[in-house]
Amino acid sequence: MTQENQILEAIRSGNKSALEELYVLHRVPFLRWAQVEFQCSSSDACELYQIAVLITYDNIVVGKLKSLHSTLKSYIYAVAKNKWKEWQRARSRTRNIGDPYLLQLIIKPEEESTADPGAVKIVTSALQRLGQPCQELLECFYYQKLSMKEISDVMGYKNPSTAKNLKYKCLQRLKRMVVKKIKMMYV
Amino acid sequence: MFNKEYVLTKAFSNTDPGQKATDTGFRVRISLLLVQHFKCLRFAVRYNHLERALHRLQDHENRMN
Repeated sequence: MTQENQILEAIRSGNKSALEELYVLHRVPFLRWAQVEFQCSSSDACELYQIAVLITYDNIVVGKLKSLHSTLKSYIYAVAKNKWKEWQRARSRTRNIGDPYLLQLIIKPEEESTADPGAVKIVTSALQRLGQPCQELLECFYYQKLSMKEISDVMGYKNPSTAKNLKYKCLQRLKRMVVKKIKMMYV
Repeated sequence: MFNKEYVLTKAFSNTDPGQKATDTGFRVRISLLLVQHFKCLRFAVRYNHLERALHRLQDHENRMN
């Protein structure tokens, strides 16, 4: 198995260091290539690389990228080419686009059509205040779609039941936090 | 499942039906809002995960420079 396929499998199985491994793997050649291709500074090339790597990572996790027809390297480069103009447009509108805009290049808010933006904001903020290990556990379950067995392995729990109980408790805490916020805002 | 008829029957069977109905209405409204909010749970979890991942990459980059 090639190093790229190993990283692909590691991301799928929830390995925490796989993202950094992917990032380091093609960073140097990408930065050189991007500075020539887009006539940009090294810090711009760096930011573009972070966006391209995260989109690739997200596509692997959500299942959009199931198998490699070429290489992860060419996939990242293609994503960067596609995102370059969009990123440039964002930069022309404002000097400091910041993390929220970078995240919008990676994850489109319009993908979330079932809930209003206010609801997304409330739940996102509650999740951030939930802290660890709840945040990570819910990510393993709802984002990475790992089984309870896989979650107990990744997070170092005794067995799947422990992970299941903890997930229940975390969701209950999250519900209480969201209800509290709803009461403050709507009632 | 939420049974509206059952809740209303319970609400009006109390000695103080007006108050009970208000309390029930309040709870039902909160429950419905909670359901509506939890529809975006997957998206919110994904957004938070990617936000932290971006910060990790930025930290990683800073350490390398």
